[in-house]
Amino acid sequence: MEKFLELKNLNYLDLFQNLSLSFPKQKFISLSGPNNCGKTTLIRILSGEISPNKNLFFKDKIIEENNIDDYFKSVQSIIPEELHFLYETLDAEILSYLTKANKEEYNYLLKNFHLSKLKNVSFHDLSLKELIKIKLLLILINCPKVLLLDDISLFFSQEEFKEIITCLKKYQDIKKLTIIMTTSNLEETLFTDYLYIVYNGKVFLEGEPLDILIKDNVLNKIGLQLPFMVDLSVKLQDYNLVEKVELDMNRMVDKLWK
Amino acid sequence: MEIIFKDYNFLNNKLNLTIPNNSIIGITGPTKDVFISLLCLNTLEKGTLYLGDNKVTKENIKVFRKRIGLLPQDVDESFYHLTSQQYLLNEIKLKELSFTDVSKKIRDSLKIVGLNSSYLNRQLKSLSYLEKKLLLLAAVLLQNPNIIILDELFLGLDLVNEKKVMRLLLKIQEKYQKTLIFASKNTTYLYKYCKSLIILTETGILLEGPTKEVLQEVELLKKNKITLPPILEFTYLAKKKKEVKIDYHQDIRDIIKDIYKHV
Repeated sequence: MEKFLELKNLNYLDLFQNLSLSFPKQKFISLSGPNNCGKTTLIRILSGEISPNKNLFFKDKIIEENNIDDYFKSVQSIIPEELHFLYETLDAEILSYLTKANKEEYNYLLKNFHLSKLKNVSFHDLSLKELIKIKLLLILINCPKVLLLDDISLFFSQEEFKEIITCLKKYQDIKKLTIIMTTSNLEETLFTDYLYIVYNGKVFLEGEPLDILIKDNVLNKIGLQLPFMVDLSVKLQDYNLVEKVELDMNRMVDKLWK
Repeated sequence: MEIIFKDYNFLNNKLNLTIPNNSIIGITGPTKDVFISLLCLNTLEKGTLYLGDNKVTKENIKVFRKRIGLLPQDVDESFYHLTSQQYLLNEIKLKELSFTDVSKKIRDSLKIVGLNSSYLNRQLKSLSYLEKKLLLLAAVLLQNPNIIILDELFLGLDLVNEKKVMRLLLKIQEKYQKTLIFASKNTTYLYKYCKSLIILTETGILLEGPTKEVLQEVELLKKNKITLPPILEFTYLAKKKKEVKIDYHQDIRDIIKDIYKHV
């Protein structure tokens, strides 16, 4: 993969040993693993919040004190427990970002994130999922090169999360955005282009999500649950009832009972 | 402690519902948070509400509030700088609990959830996701509630920790005779762990009864945009499209055997 953002030989506390991860430009990458594998810490390190100690590279340059401010502009993150805003409402917050050029974009995001009615509502009166969407909107208006998301799906229903992902993917294409998302739900990795499974401080598995997710025994062993349709397909393959993984329920039913 | 709602105002409709003592119940639907607030006795609505043999009134609502413990999805970030001990002491103060030996009570609550006293000096931000959940549970146990409401308990937990937490809760339920109410938008967990289920809509209760029976009302649930456990949805689809005689199962291995018999 072409290198864009990289962690090289990272050793951090007793969480990571010589961990190396590479994130190419304009790709959607998921990071997963069992609880306590360090997913949130990785987001903090990649965001520059935790001093990377000469392990973090962006466009082949080491991120250090002298270039960290530029890095902060290019790489922005959402950690749900740590959402900070300067003002009280979205309307007040957006003023510093809004230009003629991005007005249309703002309206598009407002509509797609269902935030139009919340523009003037105090952040204190909003739920965490509404605040996450607001933060996401503000970041996207700001046009970063890399967007880091820490397990945001926990706060949304399946349908709501799919809507957000659809919107993000459109953005990814237009703005050439790289998205790195941690998730504890392997089902969500199916939306992404590449998957890293981190376990015991190292990259345990990596590759295209479907190629990884079919390794049911290995994943179950480390406490990860397969998406239902992948699990069903893999087990039906063992009985020679299907030839390959089928993610669509309707098609699976048609294949089984012709 | 049994909970009985009689013509009780819920979403501007009359709620009639009995939650039996020592049960494991699931609640799901778009108004689950409103229902949680109702169960937590945040307000007293029109109608009649009994907790055990006692009618809840304006005068005694504060006492009964302590009989109900809510385990939220996560710890509020504003508490992250506190140590576990400070957090638990704060909870005692907020809930106006009083103990002859506070330190012992705190240590005992931690012990029940499997955390030793070394956690007392650890800041909340240094705890893992599971440890934070266990600390929240210890905080709930401090008030010795009869009913424990668990909001999105399993979200974010891996399979190992999910099983670990469930084993612990079942032990607590059995040993201390608690009613456990699991609130979640994820019906897969509720299908797996709850004996009965309440489905909520914008206007009140849509369905209520044994989990398996409730979740088999697929058409009605889909119409009301309730996401079904995929194992159940798949079975429903096979039955409807191909008239296959497979049963509804909870374990994927069972459905595989059933499919094998019927293809």
